[in-house]
Amino acid sequence: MLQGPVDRMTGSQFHGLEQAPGSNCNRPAIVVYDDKKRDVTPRPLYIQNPGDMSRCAGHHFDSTGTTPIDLCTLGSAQHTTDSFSSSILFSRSFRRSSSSSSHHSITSMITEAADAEILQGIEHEKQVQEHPFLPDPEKLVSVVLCESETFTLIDIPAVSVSEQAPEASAVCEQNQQYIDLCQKREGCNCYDDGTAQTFCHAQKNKDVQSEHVTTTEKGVECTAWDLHDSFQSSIEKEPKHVASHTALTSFVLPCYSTPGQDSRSGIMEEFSLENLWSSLRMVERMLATNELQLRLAIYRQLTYQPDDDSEVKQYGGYEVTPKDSRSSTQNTTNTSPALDQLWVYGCALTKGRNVSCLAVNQANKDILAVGYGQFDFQHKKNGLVCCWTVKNPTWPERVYRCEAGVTAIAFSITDPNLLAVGSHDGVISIYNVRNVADIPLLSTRELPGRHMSTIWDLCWVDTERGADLDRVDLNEDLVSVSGDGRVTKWMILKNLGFNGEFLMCFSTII
Amino acid sequence: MAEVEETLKRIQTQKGVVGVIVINSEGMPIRSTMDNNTTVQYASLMQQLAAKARSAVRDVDPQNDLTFLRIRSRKNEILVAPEKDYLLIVIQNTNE
Repeated sequence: MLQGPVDRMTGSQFHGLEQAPGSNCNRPAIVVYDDKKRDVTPRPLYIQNPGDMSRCAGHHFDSTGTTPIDLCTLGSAQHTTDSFSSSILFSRSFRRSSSSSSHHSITSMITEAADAEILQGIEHEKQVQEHPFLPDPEKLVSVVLCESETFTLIDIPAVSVSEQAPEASAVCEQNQQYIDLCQKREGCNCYDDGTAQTFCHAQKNKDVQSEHVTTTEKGVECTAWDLHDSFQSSIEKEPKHVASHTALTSFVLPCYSTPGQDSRSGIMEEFSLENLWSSLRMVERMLATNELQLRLAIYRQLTYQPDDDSEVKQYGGYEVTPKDSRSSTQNTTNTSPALDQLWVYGCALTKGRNVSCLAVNQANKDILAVGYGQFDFQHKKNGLVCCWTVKNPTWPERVYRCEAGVTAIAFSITDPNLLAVGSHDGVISIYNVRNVADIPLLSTRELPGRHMSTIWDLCWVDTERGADLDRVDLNEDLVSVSGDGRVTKWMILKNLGFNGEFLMCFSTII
Repeated sequence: MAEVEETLKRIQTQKGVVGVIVINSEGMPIRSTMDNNTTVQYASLMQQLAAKARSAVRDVDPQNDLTFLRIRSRKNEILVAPEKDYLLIVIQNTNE
């Protein structure tokens, strides 16, 4: 063992060492010297005491219980002779290394002692085995697990003195002296400023170029329905067929035409027609009802409360007061019974035409179907069927053009969208009023059993409960009376065909 | 195509109608019967209002949606029909 002055902090020695004792025999003895021929060989962190080498050789971490703990305890027992702190650079609390230094810190001693006691306590179940390499399978094996040693790298205990301690005054004085010193230091001559120059190596500029980082900002306003929409779309995951739809029904509108000028220059926009048209029709009805408000109220027998700003105060014989508008009996201008006209159904299409028949839709009483046709058979004129609504007397909701004058018209009761039209040339057509197109759903034009003369009347009657499976599940049949003297019952078949059944015959032709 | 044009013409000739404006989803007026300034003003105002109204309706019940918006004032009534890809605005004078 070499002895020498031990550096308190680092525990290293600055004398040349040729071979670090305790180093493994397997390791080649590499010795490193610095400029002043000092040995600065890096030393292993843990060096076994040579006195323990013989015992260490046989010790393995196995059943015998002569674990490394033993090593430590043995080491601590021998600490008095060991001056071996040099082997470990920083550790002082390591049991063997701290033993030789004369400046034990109190805490490290205590730790050491405590550990030693604990270790000794664990040791009580040990059996020394001669040949640790061949464990007897029948013998009980006890394995003791312990934690590895703690390396303390630096240990600077705090020093604080209680005020009641005897050295308190001395410490306070010392502190005060230090503070004074710091304050005086500024202008004090005891200090000389010294400069030191550090090497300023040649600098080298290095440029780095990178791609411009493109940033985009995106803001989203999140609302409850937005979340709902995204959730719905993620559930459905249907491809959108927007393109095909717009291709069929889109058209180009001129951009923003000023009144009196129909300029088609500018940005052309295409969008779907369907929605626009339905919106336009709805708006048209609204505009008309705005006009008609008082008259509609009278028609529907509602109390009418005019706005304070509106100027409609009187209509016909009805005086409209803010409180009471239902004044049918308070006819101030006329005492004899008379009718006041509410509105007229008429438009450019129907001008000059003769109204031949009327039918009111049973499901929606607002809808009135009017058939226009000549009773005068010399003039062959096209027939017209218009479906008018109460909400808009300026233009009909549906317009169906027929080849011959319309003479009979009837709405089905069970299926209110079916409208049967009988015309002057004996053809019965059935229209579906949900469609806007002019094409009838069914027609007797091609049928062999059709009427030859004017249809004078049409009527939908309830069917008898027959077991005919070819029939569409419709509870009504159409009965027609014609000028050729026949009364025929028509049935609608499943394949949208018509089947006529002859009912009766009149002897005289009307 | 012809039906839409026809209907638009009929609306313009309805009693009391001041103007008809059709704007696309970006707020650009596609069709208008009024002068430029009024059109642009109405377009921007009504678009914002319709969006706010729609948001209000859907916030209460996300499965609901706005179908029509009518603003009645002393002098006029403004009818706004909001759709997915356009906005239809009609202004009607309610007093004779």
